[in-house]
Amino acid sequence: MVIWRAVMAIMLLCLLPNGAQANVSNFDVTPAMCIAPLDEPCEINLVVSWHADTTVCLVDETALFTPYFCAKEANDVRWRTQFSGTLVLLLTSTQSGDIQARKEIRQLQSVQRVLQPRRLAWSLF
Amino acid sequence: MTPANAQEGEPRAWSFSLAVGTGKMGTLLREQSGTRFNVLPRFSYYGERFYIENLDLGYNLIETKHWSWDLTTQQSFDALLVKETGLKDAMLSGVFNSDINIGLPWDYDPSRFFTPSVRHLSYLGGTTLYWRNGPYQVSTAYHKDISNVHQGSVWQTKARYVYQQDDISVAVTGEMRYLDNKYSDYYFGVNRNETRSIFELLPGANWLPALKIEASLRLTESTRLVASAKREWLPSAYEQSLLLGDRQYTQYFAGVAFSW
Repeated sequence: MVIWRAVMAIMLLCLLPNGAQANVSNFDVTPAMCIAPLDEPCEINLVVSWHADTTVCLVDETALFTPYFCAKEANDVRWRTQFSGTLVLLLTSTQSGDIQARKEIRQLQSVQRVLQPRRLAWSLF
Repeated sequence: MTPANAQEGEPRAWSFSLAVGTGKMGTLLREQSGTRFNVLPRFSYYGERFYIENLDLGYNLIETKHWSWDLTTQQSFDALLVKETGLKDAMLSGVFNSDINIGLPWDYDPSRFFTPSVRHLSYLGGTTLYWRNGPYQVSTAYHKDISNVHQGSVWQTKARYVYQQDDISVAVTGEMRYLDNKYSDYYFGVNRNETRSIFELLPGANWLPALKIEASLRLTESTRLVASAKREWLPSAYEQSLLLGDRQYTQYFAGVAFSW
C-alpha cells in the first residue's frame, strides 16, 4: 500500500504543469568579482537582472530562507552587500524552492605591493 | 569560505636583526687602531613606496622586475674613519714621524699649532638607480650633503653578485665612490686653519674603489652565522696627509645574527 502511494505521488509530480519550474532567462549579476584588501570583506554594489515566467526569489546560498527579494523579472536592481570569499546567488522557485539559476561573485584579495629589498636580508653593513 | 586567490600570509614589511660577535671599523688616522664592536643591529621596513634601511631612507619612483629608481637619503660614515678622539695624535704623528716636509718655526708649541677640526657625520640626500637580474644587482647613487656639514657630494656605484647553495650564501660586491672636492677635502684633507697656515692638503675630487665579501650560513629560520669584510682604498692624492696613516681601511664583522 505504501509503495503504491509513493508511485502515485511520483507520477503526479511528473504530471504537474511547468508552473512549479520557473523558466529563467538572462540571469545576470555584475560585477562578477570584487577586490578587497587582505583579511577584509568585500563591500560591493551589485546589479541584478533576470526574466522568468513565474515569480522567483533571489537568495544567498548561505541564507536560503531569507531572500533578498522575489519577482518575475528584475531590471538592473541594485543593492549593496558585504561578503568574504565567494558569494553565491541563487534564483529559487517560490513554489517548489528549486534552484532555477546560479551565479558566483568571487573575492580577489589585493595584496599590498612591497618593494624588492635593496640590501640582502642577512647583510651586516 | 576560502578567498579566491588566498595568499600565504602577507609579505613581511618590517624586519629586525641583531648580530652578536666580533667586528672592527678600521681607521685611516695615523697611530690609531680603529674601533672594535660586538653587536650590530639592523632594521628595515619596506612598504608600497617607502623604505628604511637602518638610517637610510628611500622613496620609490619607478619599480619594475629589473629596475628601481628611488629618491634616497643616507648616513655618511666617513667621519668614523677620522674620528675626533684620534685626530690630534694622528696629526702630531704626521708632523714628527712622517717624511712630509713642513716648515716649522723654532719656538712653537705643537699643541697650539696643530689643532685639527672635528669631521662631523653628515647626512646625504639624492637618488639611486637599481638594476637587478637573478643573482646580480648593480646600483648607482648620487647624494649631496643635506646636513650643512660640508656641502659636498658622493657618487657611488656598486655591483653585487650573490651565490646561494642551500643554506649557504656568499655575496661579492665591488664598489666605486667618487668624492667631489668639498667632500674629499672636508673628511680627508688638512686645512690651513688646522695648522696655522704652515701646511695644507686638499686632495680634491677622487675615485675610491672598494670590495666587500659577505657570507652567511643559515642555522634556523631566524638564526645565521654571518661574516662580512669590506676594504676601501684611497688614491695617492691622500698620501701626503698629516692625518692619514694608511690609504686603505678594513671593516669586518663575524658572528651570529638573530632576526625577527
